[in-house]
Amino acid sequence: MAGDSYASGLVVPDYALLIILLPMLAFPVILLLGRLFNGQDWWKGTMKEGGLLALPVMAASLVCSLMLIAKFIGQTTVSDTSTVLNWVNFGWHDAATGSIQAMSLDFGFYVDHTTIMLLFVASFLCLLINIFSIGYMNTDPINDNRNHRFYAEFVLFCSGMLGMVLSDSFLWLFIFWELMGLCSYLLIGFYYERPSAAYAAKKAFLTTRVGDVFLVIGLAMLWNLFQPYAAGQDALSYAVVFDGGHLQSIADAGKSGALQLAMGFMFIGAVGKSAQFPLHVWLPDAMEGPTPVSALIHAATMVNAGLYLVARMFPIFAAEAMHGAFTDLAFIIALVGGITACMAALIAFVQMDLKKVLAYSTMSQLAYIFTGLGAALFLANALDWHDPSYAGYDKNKTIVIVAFGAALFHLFNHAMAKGMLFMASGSVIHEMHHAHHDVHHHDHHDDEDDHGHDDHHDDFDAQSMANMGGLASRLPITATAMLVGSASIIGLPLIGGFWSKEGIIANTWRVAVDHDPRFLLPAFLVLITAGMTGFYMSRMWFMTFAGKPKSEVAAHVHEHTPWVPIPLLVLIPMSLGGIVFASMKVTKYLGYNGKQLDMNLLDGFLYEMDHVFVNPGAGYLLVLTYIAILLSLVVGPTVAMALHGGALDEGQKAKPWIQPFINLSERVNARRHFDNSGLADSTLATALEERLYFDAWYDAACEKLVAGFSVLAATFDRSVVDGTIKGIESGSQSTSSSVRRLTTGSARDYIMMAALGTLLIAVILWGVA
Amino acid sequence: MRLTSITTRLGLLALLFVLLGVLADDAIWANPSEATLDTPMLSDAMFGAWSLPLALLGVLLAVAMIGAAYLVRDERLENLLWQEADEDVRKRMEAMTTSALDGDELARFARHLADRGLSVAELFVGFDRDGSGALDVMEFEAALRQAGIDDLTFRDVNALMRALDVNGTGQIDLPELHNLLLQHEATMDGGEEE
Amino acid sequence: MIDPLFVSGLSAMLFVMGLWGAFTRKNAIIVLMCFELMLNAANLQFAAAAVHHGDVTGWIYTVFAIAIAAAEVAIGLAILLSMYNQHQTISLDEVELLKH
Repeated sequence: MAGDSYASGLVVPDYALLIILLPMLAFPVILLLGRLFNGQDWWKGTMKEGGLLALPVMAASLVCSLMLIAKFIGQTTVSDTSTVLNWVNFGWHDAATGSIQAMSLDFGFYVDHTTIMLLFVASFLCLLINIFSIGYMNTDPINDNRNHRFYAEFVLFCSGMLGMVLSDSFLWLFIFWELMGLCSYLLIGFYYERPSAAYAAKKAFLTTRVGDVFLVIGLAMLWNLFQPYAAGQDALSYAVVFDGGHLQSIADAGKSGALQLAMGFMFIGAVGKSAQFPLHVWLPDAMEGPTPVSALIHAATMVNAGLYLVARMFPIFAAEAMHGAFTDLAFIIALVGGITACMAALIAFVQMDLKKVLAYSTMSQLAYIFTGLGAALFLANALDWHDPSYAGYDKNKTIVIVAFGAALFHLFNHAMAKGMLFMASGSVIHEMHHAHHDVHHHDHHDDEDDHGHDDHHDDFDAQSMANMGGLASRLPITATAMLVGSASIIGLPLIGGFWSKEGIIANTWRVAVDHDPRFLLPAFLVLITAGMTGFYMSRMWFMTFAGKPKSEVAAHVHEHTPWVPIPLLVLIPMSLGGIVFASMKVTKYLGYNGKQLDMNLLDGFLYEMDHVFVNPGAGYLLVLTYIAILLSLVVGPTVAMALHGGALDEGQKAKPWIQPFINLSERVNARRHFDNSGLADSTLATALEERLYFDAWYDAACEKLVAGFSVLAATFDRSVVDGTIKGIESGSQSTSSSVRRLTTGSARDYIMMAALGTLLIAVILWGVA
Repeated sequence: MRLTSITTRLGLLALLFVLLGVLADDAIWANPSEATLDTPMLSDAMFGAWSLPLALLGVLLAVAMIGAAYLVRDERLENLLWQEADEDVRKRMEAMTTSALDGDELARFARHLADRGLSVAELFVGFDRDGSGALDVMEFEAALRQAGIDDLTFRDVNALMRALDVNGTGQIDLPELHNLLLQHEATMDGGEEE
Repeated sequence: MIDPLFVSGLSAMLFVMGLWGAFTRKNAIIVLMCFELMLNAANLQFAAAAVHHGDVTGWIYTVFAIAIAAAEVAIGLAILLSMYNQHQTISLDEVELLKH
């Protein structure tokens, strides 16, 4: 894979630039028009405060992306190196060789199968979430007259994500990475008048910043390593970094340890961006932003940036020259993933806020992908799969490809499912707000003070699942969407995430058992997390949709917001269609640029079913699969149903495909309901509610660091900077008063001074002569 | 610096010895010239090659003298007046100190006396009211007024009197009056002859 | 003729005497006289050098120096007169209005 020809003749067409450029140009346009026309009726009603400006832009982006995908989907190599934009040219005088060295940094496109997948995910979800936000943001009065800011930042973010995915250099990846970080900050802090939102935005930005510091250090080290081979080009471009020859030279120079360290630092940057342990603290607070923001940034696109970065490092791990050099890093990646998965799932057990459950779920699922990537990278690095004449070449190659592909496929499934889940939760919350408004107004319709929207929010939390319940009959589309999404996340057999999750678990155990026993820890963690996922996702669904309404507001909820159901309806088949993708052998497609999608669906389906459920010769892996299915399908949801299941209200009936689940939950609840108050009040529960005290520790550490440093800086400013100035001032004053004493006022003294001066000049002249 | 006078004196002695030492350096006196200098050579050089610089030097000297004259003029009256704050007083002082003389008052006076056709003694006796043998300021002023010169301040009258009072007595006696008439005749003659 | 060397030496001594007087005396007129002494010493030096080198340019320089001395004296005396008019004293010790 490394060293693939870059003269494959696959030229990225020019319209690919539109994918990035259109949203980026839409940003100032929407902002400007929003400022100009703010408050006017046609702007609010017709243009949806910029929403209908963003919509065609995102649609155009999607169309261009689809065209690009259509062109490249059948290809088996990476696209040609291309230069779209000559960005920076500079030269310097090299003292060593005495010549002028030139350097040019360009922007170009790099398209391979990973790019295609992420491009599709990003542009598709951007469009759908745009549609969703038109319905969500524009019908909530709290957002009036500032939605143009939202849409402007939204399109800017989209351009950042698409740019990152398409760019051909780690440098540009970083640039767009930072752009996304900025937009994330702006969007989380959208309700800037709320101190909690401002705090959350700051926290998100600073935490990812910590990761970014390491990322920059890693990039600098990478530059340093590859600079000798870059020959005046961008040393961070994929063409340079993935080249087998360069990697061989680096290995020969003994610098593979440095390369591992560089990639380790870059991984820390990914940890920050994708909210993994220990830089995960920002993601739950980031739910302060509006729900479309959570859907887009924190489920579907930005948090995938970290994953994309790690995935992009695959060719380096896979290079023959670096065989066996990076196993430690791969283990660290998997370990971080495993720890985060388990920890996030635990914390999700006690969350009452709907969006927070989803946030922790995101954290956990991303951790899954990291674990999968860790295992895949380990396999790529440790197995012998470079020499076709080697006996186990075919087998090893398949293993590596499938491992890598599974991780990436899980990324795809998760993005689709999580985006849908967030949008569905947004729908729930939105309808709860409306219902609350209705109820409140109904009861206090002659109370004139109650018109402020904020009054309503003070003591009723529309996001808390404690106030929900029984919504399955009242929000049918939303309930279906959340059901399918949850199923995909849990990994219910045959639905979306199942195919990829099984792959990840299996591969991690394969590495642990066959190669490196250290991997047992992440493997084990990931396995029990499957069960935990089953529990907390089911808990979420049943608390919200099953049982009787726990508050009066919930009883009044009904689905009536326009625009919102559209993306939900579109994404349901995408999650259900996981089986179709699996039949197309998408795992192998994603794992290796040389494999193509197999359109023989029936054969593919049969193969997959056999491979997963029957699979003779796989031994322990088959056992594992069934254990995982057991945990996630049976154990988790059963416990959840036992606690929170229940029939709907009298006279309420859910849609036919949902009703069976409700009935099941009612039966389980009736028979097996147990008292969990002991658990709920335990110290573990308290610790989980406090998010395992990470926030407190970080706050204390920052305080000590920052306060200490600011004292230092203040002292430096006062004594050194100000002191220098004052010193100059007082010094010149004292010098002046000393010199002034020469003016004695006596003419005789002046005569003497004149004479001495003349004598001095004479001596100097005489000396010089 | 006065406290360091000993240092100064010692320094000056040292300077003396240094200068003498330098001058005693034989190298300076190495090549005496046989040519003898004499005055014609000097005057040749002065009015020949060095004429222009010397002329400029003369100009410089003249300017210096003129400047020195300006340096010593008595500005006390102007300074005191300038310091006077009261406008009224200042104006009155300035009026008093400004001279309104045209410069030809004496000539006019003399012509008037000459035109009267009397002898000088007769004129004198006519002017000297109190018979003191000399004209004091009041009598002189009266005489001037008779001559038609009546628009003068006391100061100007005094100035005219001082111009006539050659022996500095403060009063004009007969010989001085005669002197005036003689001067007038001289100028008249000089004018007529032309 | 007198050896120009000795004239030179005399000039040096006169110069130092003038310098000493300029530094030390209180009476402003004496100080002016000392300046004249120094100028004259310089003049002597010029004359001696002219005789030694046989070059009449040295004598021209003495003419210059004399003229400049004259100018300087005129101005110096004028200043002295102003000083007296202002302060009623010619003692250099008593005039120290410019003391810091």
